[in-house]
Amino acid sequence: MKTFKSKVAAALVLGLLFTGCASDDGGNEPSGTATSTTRTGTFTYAISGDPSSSNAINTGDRWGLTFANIVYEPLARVDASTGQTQLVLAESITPSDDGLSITVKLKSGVLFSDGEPLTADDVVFTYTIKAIKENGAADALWINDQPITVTKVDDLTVRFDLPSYSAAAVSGIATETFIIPKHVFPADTDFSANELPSYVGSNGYQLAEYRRGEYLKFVVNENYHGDKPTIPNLVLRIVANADTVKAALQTGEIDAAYVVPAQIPDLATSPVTVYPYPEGRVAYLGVVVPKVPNEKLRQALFFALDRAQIAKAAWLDAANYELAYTILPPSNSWATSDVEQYTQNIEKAKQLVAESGVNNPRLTLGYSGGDLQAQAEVAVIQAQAGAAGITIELLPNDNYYDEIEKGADSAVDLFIGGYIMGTEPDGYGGLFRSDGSWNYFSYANSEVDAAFAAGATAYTENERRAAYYQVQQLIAQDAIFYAIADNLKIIAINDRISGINSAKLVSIYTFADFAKLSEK
Amino acid sequence: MLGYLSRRLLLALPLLLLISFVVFAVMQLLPYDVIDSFARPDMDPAALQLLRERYGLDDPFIVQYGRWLWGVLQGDFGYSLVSRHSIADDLLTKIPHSISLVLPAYLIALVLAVVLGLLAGANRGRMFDTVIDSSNALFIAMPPFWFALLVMYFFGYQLRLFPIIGMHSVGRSDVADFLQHLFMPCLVLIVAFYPDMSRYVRSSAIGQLNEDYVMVQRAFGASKREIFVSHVSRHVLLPVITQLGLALPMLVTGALITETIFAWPGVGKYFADAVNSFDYPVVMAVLLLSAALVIIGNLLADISYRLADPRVRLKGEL
Repeated sequence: MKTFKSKVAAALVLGLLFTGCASDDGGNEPSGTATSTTRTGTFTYAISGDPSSSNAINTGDRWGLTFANIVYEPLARVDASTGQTQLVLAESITPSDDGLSITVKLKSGVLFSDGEPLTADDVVFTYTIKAIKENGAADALWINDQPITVTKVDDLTVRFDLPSYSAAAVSGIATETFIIPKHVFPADTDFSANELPSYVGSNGYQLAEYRRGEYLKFVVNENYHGDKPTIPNLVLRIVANADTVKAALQTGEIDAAYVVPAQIPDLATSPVTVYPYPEGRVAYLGVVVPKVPNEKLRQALFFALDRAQIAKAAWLDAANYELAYTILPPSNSWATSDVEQYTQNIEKAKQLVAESGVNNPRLTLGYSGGDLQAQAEVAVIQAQAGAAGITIELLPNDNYYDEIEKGADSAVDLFIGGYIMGTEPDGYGGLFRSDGSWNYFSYANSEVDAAFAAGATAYTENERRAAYYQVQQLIAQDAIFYAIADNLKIIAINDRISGINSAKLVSIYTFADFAKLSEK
Repeated sequence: MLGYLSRRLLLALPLLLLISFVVFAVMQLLPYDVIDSFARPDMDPAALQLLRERYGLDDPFIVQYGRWLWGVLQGDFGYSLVSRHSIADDLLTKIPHSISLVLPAYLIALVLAVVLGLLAGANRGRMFDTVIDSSNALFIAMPPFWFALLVMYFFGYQLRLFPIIGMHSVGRSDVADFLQHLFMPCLVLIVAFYPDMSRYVRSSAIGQLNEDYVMVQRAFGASKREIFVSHVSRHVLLPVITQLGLALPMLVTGALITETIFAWPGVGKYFADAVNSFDYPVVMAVLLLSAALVIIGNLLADISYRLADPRVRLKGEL
């Protein structure tokens, strides 16, 4: 694909011919006076679409979680790179000696943006609602099909009671649960919906205006218990077109946006710095198992592929990614390389196709058509599978998860996906347990379910390690998931913004704390 | 006139009904229904079936069509599969945004096309005509997305004259801010709309020059200017009225690519996003709206033409 620069360079020649206008420099440096550059007092961050859910109870997509993390706060955060728990609303988190309960003491003096205090009632309210399966994101709050219950001890203390011991409980309780205020929601509020009637949180910013398809504007929460944000306005501006995002970054109309490696050279002359950082993401090729029940065919496909070439096509430079071999990212301390890695072997792939008994296999591959990296991945996969006699039909669809969820009725057999599930291996159960909320593979293996359960309830690290190694080996053996790479996320930020280290670039939410960003 | 209008309306109604039927039938053939908009992989199939029954999705096709049509007549187009938002509410917000972009672009393109097309026709074969005709050919051949990127690069990035994103700056809704945002997408649309109309006017003008009445005017010693202003332009502009009516659907969906590139929050971008996401209910709603506007636009064009040209009335009554 032509780059933006080459397109416009050619265009300029024609443009000058017919408009009679001439640019003095003819290069990349702007010559005019900026009328559209970013205004002081606002940090504008480009996002690619509306949050698919702005309900902090059930949101799970990148922009929904980013929104939740701007407005609300969790009890604690689990650092994706170190696995350490960092206290946010909690003053202390103390597991009992028998591991069957966890007592959380809340910080005092925390107020919601409407001035009401954040108390144990709000924590109990939030966790009780979140643990309701119908609300859509209860996985982390259930152990062996029993819910974790939460009780108010006093105004600033709550106790979580576990149905059985779980090594993953603290992580499960802390991860992605944002405390919402009990007092603002009527009794009949539907918490399975994608929107809530109000957005009152305790974090540094509060929502001021949301124009669907245009932007979300946040202003400083005057009741924030931490250091007040120094940038008065925070805007999440919705811009889907990658070329538009790049041009807006170059003009300063937006301050920050995710970019792909191919765009970085074009930003070199702009007052923008590029920050690559790891997210612990696993980019993968997934199989909708009921659509491809033939295990030999799945294995044949995987043996036809070369993840190194796929990753190189998508992320260009080996510095931008690390190859992955299992359901856990390679940086995860629980990941093992002792699994079937499906090292490319075309002859073996052809032999497996023959053994599968499927003549001229054709598989449909769903992917996000607007994602430049996915476009590169599917092109390589299509070519490599073709070499082994497997025809891949491409089906671009920006909302293909809805299609995958149909399982046996899905129009796609394979899909390009990616997830960020953190350092706690139990968190990956939601994707691969037969009852997992995000089991897009429609995969069911009782041994995998048992191994996840064993890992969560094991007392020693060795037992846990054995269980999660078994999970990775079983899933690889079943050939339902082909890990490609853990790719770095790359964000471009205007040089007028500082405090990036304090705000801390993190997976999913972009910044752990937007309130710590400042203007130079 | 009223009789003619009633006849046309009566003819338009069954056509609209037919279109609505086709749209609904296509929706029924698709592998999605409203339940899919909130189903999750872990939901019990029995619960999903209960929901389908509650929403009447297991009723016979014709019953569902009747219910859907009744909803559409009341402005209820259903819900988006992606956002779960009411499509009617979304369209109510986005249609004015699209009109505010497309209408000025279309009107400017029309004026330019009439003026330049007539001048080109009047100067047939001369340098001016060659420039206009060649530039029209170039503009027609130029892909809109490419020209949009060119405009964005030149005016937005190099000259920094206009903002690149959206319809307003965040938190501003004044006219000056709107006009700043309007310039670039509007320019792209003018260049998209203008050449076809200009070629149409030019060829009509050239055609008129061969008519007897022009020869008569020349014989009477009328100047070229008088012939064009008083006679040729009238004949050329009549068919342009038809163009105006036919442009009605364009007001809503005429800026699909431009809106997407400039993040203009109109129906075009809404439709493009829906197509990319396989958001069938939105796609179908916009298609139905477009089809209805084509029919209404045709009707309006015929009526205006009839009002403007007495000969059409005579023919219509024969």
